[in-house]
Amino acid sequence: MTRASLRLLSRWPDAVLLHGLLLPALLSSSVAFADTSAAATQFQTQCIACHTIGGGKQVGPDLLGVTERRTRDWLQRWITQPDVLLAEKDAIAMELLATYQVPMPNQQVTAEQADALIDYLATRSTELAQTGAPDAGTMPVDASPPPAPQPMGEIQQTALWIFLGFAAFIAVVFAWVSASAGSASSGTASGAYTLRTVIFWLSVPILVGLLFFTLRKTPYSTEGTPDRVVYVATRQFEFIFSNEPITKSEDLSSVKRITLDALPAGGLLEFRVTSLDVTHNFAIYDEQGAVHAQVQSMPGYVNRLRTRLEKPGTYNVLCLEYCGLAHHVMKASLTTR
Amino acid sequence: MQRKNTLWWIAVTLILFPILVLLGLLMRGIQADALPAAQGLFYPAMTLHGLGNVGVWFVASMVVALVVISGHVPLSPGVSWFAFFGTVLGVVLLLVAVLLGRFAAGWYFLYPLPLMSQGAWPTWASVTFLLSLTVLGATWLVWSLATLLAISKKFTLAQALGWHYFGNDATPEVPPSILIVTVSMIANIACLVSGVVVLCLFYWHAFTGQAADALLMKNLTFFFGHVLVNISMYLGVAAVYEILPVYTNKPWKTNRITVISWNSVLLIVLLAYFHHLYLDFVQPSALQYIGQVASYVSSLPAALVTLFGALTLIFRSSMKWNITTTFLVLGLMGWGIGGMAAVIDSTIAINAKLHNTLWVPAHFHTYMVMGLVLMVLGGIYHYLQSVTQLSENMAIHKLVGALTFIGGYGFLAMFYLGGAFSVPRRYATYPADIISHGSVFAQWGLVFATLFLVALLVYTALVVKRLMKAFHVAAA
Repeated sequence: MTRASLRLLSRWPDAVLLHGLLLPALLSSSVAFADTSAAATQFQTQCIACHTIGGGKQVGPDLLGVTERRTRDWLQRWITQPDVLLAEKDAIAMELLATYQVPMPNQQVTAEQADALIDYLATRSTELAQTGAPDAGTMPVDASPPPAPQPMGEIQQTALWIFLGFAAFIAVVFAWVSASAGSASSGTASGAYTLRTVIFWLSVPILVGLLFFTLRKTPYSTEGTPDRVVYVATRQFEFIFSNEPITKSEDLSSVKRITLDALPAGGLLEFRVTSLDVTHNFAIYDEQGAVHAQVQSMPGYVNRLRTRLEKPGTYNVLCLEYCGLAHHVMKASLTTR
Repeated sequence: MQRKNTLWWIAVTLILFPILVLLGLLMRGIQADALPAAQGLFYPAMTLHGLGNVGVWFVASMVVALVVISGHVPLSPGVSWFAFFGTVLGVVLLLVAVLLGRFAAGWYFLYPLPLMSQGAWPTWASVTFLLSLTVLGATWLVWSLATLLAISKKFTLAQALGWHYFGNDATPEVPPSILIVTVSMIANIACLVSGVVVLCLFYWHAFTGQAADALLMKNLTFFFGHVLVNISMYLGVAAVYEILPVYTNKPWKTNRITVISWNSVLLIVLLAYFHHLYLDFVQPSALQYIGQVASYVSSLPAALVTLFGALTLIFRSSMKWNITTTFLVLGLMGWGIGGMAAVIDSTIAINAKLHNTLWVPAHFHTYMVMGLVLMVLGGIYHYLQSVTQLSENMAIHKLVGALTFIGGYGFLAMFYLGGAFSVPRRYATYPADIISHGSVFAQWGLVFATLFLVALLVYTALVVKRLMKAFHVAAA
């Protein structure tokens, strides 16, 4: 087998599975956005996971015409302090919760940003009412080429291949043995027991070798000095980044939040991760959409995740520990240069 | 009396399991973007689906195992009915918490989420949920202790664990099912005690506002959950040890290897749970390494004793294929394949990439749905057929076997691929800009899961016919 064909074979999951299974999804997810204002960008990053404008209900209500249904003051409070309104048992907030079952998360939107978002919602609603066109901010609009298929991470691919190999072996053995049933023979099982002894003594060094090899590759190392330390506080349903520790909710008023838009590419990064409420997770997805590194985020403890993000670019962060009804909208991003 | 109790357990299993499968289909349908209006139901459905299946398959495997050991030791009908009504009460409370209270903290209710819902479910729902677990835990603890007590009437603990096989006199002969049930009940008591501590700390927080240590709670919770799921598996395997020889006409007896294997399982199952906490870096590293070592070592007794022993029994035997033998063999294979996927995920370096992706439901659905569930369903059919002796249509048996295989592994393949492509588990919908491909796996998974459901319904029709007659026979 040539080196090229081996390489092709090693990419089989990506080449076949992604082009065959995933392409429809990738095509349907190609989105072109018409409005590039700050509010539109904010809508795309913080609201679109749950809402559309004229595209129908999703996790939350369709926001077409919402500025006519609600007062500006109420919208302002709902966008900036939804948790407070829910705690106060505001009638509209409770009605929305009863209808959609998912509480609106506090995404730390400032009053100025909320104003801009409300204006954006009003403008978009008017435009859509006039044109009758689908919402370009939330509906697929064709034309742009589909994104490149996402390959698996290297370790994920290795794990899949090992699994497929073992699963096929087990299936073949079961099929072979099953095929022999139904025609009783008088043979004894002594040969089988000898075989079992041989397999056992072969398995022991293999297991020990595998343990020796893999246990040296754990993510727990604390050697060396990080090039950059970032404090990460998690809470339902957001990630908060800072240069100083945030260990309790009261710290939020005194510690400045930061955006991670200039982390050193290839540098050793240390994320000190804790939670302000329930258990969360801090998972960095690489540009290809594969998990690069992750760690749990637990109240009362700080987990230190060390990793290097080799390529300059933007990395998404997701929570991979179920943390409540809006778990799937909890995300952030960081950029390396 | 005992038979009637068994039949009621079977009836409850046959009613609940298809409903729980439907909840699974609902979840995959929502993830596939096919049911956007039902999105708010995802997490309550996930909670009920997970807890319901863990509970149903613990009691179902317990019942099947008790049926097979009832031939060796005297079981108390009173305890069986106590376990039945205690479980029904626990399930009713759980249904109230989820269906009326919209409780949705997931099947392992990771502390302190049940008490911090941001208004998504009321406090009374959390308390009702905790009460449900209290009732179930107390009932199952009594059930486990009573089972050990029943075994002790014929065997000492040392004998039930097979230790006398290392002496000169290997009498009394201990059936493998007794050995496995004894190991499972001891582990179960440890696991339920852990559950009791978790519940006490939850109640303490709920009523005093004083928080417990989150890392301690996580250790206790996963010790409880991990052991409970694993002993359910072992109880199913205990039934296979007893039922398979009936069809192969070869005995499957206890020997020193079996004893070493199952005694070591008792130790391994109590230590392997650490693999659930690999990504809690504050956990002492030594415990993380113990988790991986125990998980790797656990493959030896499972593969070389149980699976190898079963294959030796089947090889060139006179075994005929019907729904029981098909499900037992498929179940053992699913246990092997799912176990292998679990061992891969128990590698710390790999878990750092696959943790809480769809790889996790992939492997546990493999050894649960295509492993334990099939073993127990095979055992149920065997039991009812031996009681009723109704005529069998082998063409339907083959159809059920084929649909189960295709539907089951097709649905699992979508989980494995999703995991390898980093699709998170427990997401109602997938963010289109990061993991839009998750919904495509869900679409295909939905198709295959529907095939599995069709197979299950045909199986249920076959079994209900026998169940009705068995009730009639028991009444007579």
